[in-house]
Amino acid sequence: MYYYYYYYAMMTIVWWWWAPGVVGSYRGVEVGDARYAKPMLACDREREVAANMINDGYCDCEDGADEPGTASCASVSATTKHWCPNAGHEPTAISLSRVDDGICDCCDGSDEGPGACADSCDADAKRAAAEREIAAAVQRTGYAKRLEFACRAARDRKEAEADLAKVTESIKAESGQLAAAEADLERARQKADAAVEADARSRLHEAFHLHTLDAEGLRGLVLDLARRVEVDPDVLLRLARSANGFPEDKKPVEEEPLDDSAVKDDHILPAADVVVDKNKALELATYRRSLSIVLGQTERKFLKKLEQRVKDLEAKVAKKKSKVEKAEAMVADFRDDDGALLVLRRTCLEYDSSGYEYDICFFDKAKQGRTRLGNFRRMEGSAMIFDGGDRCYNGPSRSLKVNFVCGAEDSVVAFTEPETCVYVATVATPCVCEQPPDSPPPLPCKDPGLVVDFFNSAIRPLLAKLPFLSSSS
Amino acid sequence: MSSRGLVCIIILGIASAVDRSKFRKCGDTRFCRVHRNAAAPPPAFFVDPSTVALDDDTGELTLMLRGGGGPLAVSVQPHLDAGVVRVRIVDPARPRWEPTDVLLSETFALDAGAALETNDDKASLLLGDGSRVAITYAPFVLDLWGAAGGSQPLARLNAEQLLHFERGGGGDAAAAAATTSVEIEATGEEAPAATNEEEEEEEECADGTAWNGEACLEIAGYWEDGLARFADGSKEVKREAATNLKTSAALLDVSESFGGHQDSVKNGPTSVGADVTFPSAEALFGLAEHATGLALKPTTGEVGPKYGEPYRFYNLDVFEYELDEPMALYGSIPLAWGHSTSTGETVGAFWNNPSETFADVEWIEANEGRRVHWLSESGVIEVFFISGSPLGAMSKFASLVGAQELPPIFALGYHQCRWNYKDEKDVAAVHGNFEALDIPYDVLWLDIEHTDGKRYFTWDKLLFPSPVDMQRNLSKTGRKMVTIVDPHIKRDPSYAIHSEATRLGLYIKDKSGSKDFDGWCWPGSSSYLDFTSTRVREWWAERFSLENYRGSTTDLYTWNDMNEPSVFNGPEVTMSKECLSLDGVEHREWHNLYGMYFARATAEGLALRGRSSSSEREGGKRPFVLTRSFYAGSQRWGAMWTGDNAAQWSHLEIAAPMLLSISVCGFSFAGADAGGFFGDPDPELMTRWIQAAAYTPFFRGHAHHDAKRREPWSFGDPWTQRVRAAIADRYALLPYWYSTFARARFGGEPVMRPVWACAPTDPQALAIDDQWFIGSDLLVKPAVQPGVDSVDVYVPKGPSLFFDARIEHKHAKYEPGTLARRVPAPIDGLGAAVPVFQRGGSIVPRQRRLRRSTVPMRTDPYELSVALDASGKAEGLVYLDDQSTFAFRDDNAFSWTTFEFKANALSASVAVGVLPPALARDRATSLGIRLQENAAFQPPPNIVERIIILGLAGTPNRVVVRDGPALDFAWESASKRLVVRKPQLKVADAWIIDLEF
Repeated sequence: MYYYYYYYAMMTIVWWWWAPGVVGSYRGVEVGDARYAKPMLACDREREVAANMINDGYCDCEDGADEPGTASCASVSATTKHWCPNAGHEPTAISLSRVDDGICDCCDGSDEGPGACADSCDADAKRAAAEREIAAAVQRTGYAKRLEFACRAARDRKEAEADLAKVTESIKAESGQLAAAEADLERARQKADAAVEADARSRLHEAFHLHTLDAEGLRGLVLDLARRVEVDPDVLLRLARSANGFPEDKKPVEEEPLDDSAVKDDHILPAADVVVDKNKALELATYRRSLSIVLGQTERKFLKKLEQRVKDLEAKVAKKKSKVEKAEAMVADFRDDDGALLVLRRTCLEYDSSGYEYDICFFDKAKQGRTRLGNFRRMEGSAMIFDGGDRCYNGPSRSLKVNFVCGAEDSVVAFTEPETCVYVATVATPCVCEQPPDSPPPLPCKDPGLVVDFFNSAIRPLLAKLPFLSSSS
Repeated sequence: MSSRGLVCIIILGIASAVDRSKFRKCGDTRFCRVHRNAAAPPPAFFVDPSTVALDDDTGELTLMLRGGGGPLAVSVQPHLDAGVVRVRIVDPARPRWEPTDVLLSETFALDAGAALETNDDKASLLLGDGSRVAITYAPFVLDLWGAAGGSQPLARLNAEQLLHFERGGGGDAAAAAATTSVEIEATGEEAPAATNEEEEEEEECADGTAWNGEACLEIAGYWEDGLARFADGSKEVKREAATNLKTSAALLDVSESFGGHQDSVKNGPTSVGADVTFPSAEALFGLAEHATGLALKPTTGEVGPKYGEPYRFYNLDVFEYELDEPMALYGSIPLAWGHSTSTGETVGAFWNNPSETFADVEWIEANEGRRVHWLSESGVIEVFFISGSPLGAMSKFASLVGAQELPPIFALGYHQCRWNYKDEKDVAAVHGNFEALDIPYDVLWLDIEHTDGKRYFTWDKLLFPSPVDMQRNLSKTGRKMVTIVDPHIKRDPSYAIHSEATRLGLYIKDKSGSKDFDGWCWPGSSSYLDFTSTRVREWWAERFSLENYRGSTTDLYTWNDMNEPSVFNGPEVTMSKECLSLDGVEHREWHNLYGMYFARATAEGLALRGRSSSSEREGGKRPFVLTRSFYAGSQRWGAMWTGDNAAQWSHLEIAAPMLLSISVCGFSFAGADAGGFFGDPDPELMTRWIQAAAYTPFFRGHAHHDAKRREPWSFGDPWTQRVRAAIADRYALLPYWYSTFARARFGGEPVMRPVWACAPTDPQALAIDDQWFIGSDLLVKPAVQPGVDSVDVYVPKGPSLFFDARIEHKHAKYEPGTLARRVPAPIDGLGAAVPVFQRGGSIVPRQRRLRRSTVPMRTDPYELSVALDASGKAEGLVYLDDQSTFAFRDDNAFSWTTFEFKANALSASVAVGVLPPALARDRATSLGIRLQENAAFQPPPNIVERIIILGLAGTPNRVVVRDGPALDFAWESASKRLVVRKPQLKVADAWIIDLEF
């Protein structure tokens, strides 16, 4: 703190010291900036101020153009920056708020009064150059690997596409089988339904003592009934036509006898079961016994078997479909990319941070110790999202976002938890290294197919001539 | 205690998200029922005329009351500070515990010129300023009459005969209690509507287990919501609190039971209560802290929209508190102000009682004033009556309990907090973002997770391996750090604080008096230091020394949370009333003081830290302590905030009324967490909140650990730039904030002021609590609703016109007593988003240069904004000191510059070490400021770089420093303002600038 007090004592003096500068060489202005080489300085788009107002310690332009070398215009609206020449290092442009604030921001100390800061430009430049060199080396190595990975991904993708085609084909076949099985099942079900219906009718016949009546008896009964309840003759006529299988509105065809097969039934209930109660009779009229009672064991088993077959086929198709969708999604994720990241599919990385052990298996799952941080869900831009992990004590279910940066090797750089149970990891990997600026254009991938062909056509025959190898193959 | 006659009703039900059933209501509380719903009126009290006596030396009037048990002693002490009268009513036979540390001094200067007049049925104490205290004997009523006389007393004590004094004790005393207290019977009103709900007697879960909705499971811990947690992370399902109602057969059983917690009330009933009437008041204010509007609503009587419950004072950690409820919150200041716009006078009643207290508010019919019925569980009756102009009365109150301590200036900057910045990398990243985006801030905060297992004064070794380097990295750019230190101490024998506190016997005892109280809080099983004890406070203060607090630096300050105290498994999430202090006094007596004592011990520790050796005289760095719990006078030890609010527009809206209530109760350094603690604000809410909070005294962004990140850059541009501009606004106005805080410290006036206090005769001002004054010169009304881009601003009646302070809005001029409609409040109005009006007749200082923090601003130049009144005059004060130490208090190392504009001349005059004419010497000395010309003090060398004058009729021909050079100036006709360029005169100097027309 005392450092500041020392500085404050100097401040007012410094303030005058710097202002105003010589035209063309103002503090905080890049050497050779033509704007500052004229007698009038243009600022705030439409205004001009006299050159003697530059760096005079008073803010005349809202954009700060007249005070690049003081903090007078430091404000939210200032767009002007203070230019640090930083001889021996790269020039920088800093916010006007940093000028003469007692804190050294430029490596040459030009943002503070004379003597306030040590010049660290040479050291900074050396350090920066070293850092750049390392970064460039990493990028070169990383990018070379990335190309290799991309080729591998291209092969993988080709294989995936071939697999996809195969699966799609087999889905077609299985879909056909499924349709056939569904048809079989439908037929069997209809048959069974008919049996249930027949069963119900026969029970109804018994309940109303109809099963023992012959055709004549039935006719008599119908006529008796019609007389007793005063049935409209037209209704009777229509019902009779219908029972004979004719449209109701046409005249009955006398020649065709009524089909009495419906009333003949093998199952005759004992008389004791005969229902006389009116309500029971009505109930019986609408009651259908279940399939399992009506059908025989063989029929039941057959139906079940058909059902199972449909189910199995459905599951098979669904599984394959999801496989296809996944494969499609993966291909789609890297549509605009070389797919190099796909090599991480088989990679898991470990990381220790502040006493916690993290495991990330890319495109799969992530853990913190034994706690699940989530399963791979999707790519979000170039970031990998895991979610649905274990719930937090008193909080949400855990999730992880992995951001990738260029690195020579795969490694976890940082693992943070910015919000409770929301994790963010930074992973260095060659997979995202950009092409170094001065590197030659990448060579096309070696086609693995050619290698295999060459092996098959040239090497294998040679090998085959070696008896000790051919015998083992 | 006998349990015969108990009607135990347990209702099985699932508590709602905001668990109101966890907190007691008046009906659940014996003494409140006795006072408030008494079936028969309490006994009347009569003055024994033979006992009325005046002590001629001091002016103290004493008398005895008869009725309702043994005699009660009344003492009336008129203060020399005109308008302040203290009235005490005690039981002379059985002295009770009373707080000794609330009042600034126990020996106030009394009005020795008081004269007594008596006759058969009344006495009258005539005071030096012409006011008087009139006492009617039968029944006892005390009336306070103002100097101006008038047709009504200013205030009346016991006009409604609600004076009630339970005598406690067993045996005779219990019998006395039985005769004076009439219990209500268990009625349908008391029993919650249970008829249609499942109603059954439930077995309680065994000790160590709790109900999970299906079964009793073993408890793994507790959380701040007061519910147990199980091993799988799931939480207890609360079966609604058991309410025990006593029938009249149980009159003598004064034990209490609530939410499964028992209280035997071993000393018997000792409650006290009395009514205070404000006959001419049109509105009441105060009674902080409640999440309610500024003007108090009635809780009883026939008039007005009512709350169903009285305002409650019992410092509690209320998890996810509700709005517009008179429920107790974290802090208590039992002070009510009655205001009359016909006289412009305010009368206050400060009910100085730190035990559980209720205040029943009544609007008397036919506009016959307002009434507060105070009732406290224990202690004595001590009421201070305070009258005067609104600001004058508040100053007088400050002289009683202390003024707002002057914060070090960094504390007025922006504070960035979150539960939690995870580790040193996180801290560096957040700091780095502020740096990269050039957003000013002063303090970065660390919540409980920075500690080693919630052991305060320690650091998590893995997350924070190098705390000193971390703090240095912040302080390099002028920033500070705050760490949290809570009062619960982890019961871990290997934790030095615990083992030493145990060895020295510093913990609060359980009801047996022999065992250290053990309750559950963040660290699990915890004990609580007895901060009511001087010895404990001194020991605690030493914990903050750089040697004891490893990893601390002098740039580290402190946040005191959970100091109600919060006890997760205690009744109402606090400590049992039966716990005992080291002096053997029940927690019941001092509950509402605990938070204040804790923050005080902490502040004393930080102040101690600034001194390198004991021989060095006082003058170390000012402490900065933020407290959640407080009592009257807590402002002497730092700042407060309104606790765990929520990221909702309604919580943004309630912030202003809550802060205003707290301010008028004497606590100026107050804020609400910007963004809202629970939940996620959308960018609009976050931005509006930062914009509004920038104009409140304590300005901190904070967030719950489940909430998404919400630092200024979290929503990206344009939001980042909006938030940045709002924070920059705050920094530009810091010279005004600091001078206003200095006026609060030297004069006792609040920093954030309600409109009515600044416009005492304007009836329309009484209802306004969504706009406020900072000091006396700036009127602020931020937009606090979604989707709006303008607000209506009420310009109060009075002598002053107002100017929009924003050039972007052409400094529009508004006449007093008008509603300025659709004043622009554009959310994207960088630097002009918040409607701020400057009072005509005022001069406001600013520092326009955007900086990283307050440190580089220390010597930056000033801009003076002069807003003329109708007669072409204006006045303003700027306070300067070292901004960080107590030299202002101990060495009178400060200066006040009075700027005055009149007759077309702006003059500056400086008072160094003494007061400017506008401030009262007596007030400052009563607030502990030494005043003496101080030639040794060199005020900071800041200069004035720009003067803006609003309200001139036209442009002058010349602007010239008297006996000096002519100055450049510009007349900006669109906004009718004169800008004087580069006067380059010192702020703390004498000079005159003439405008020549």
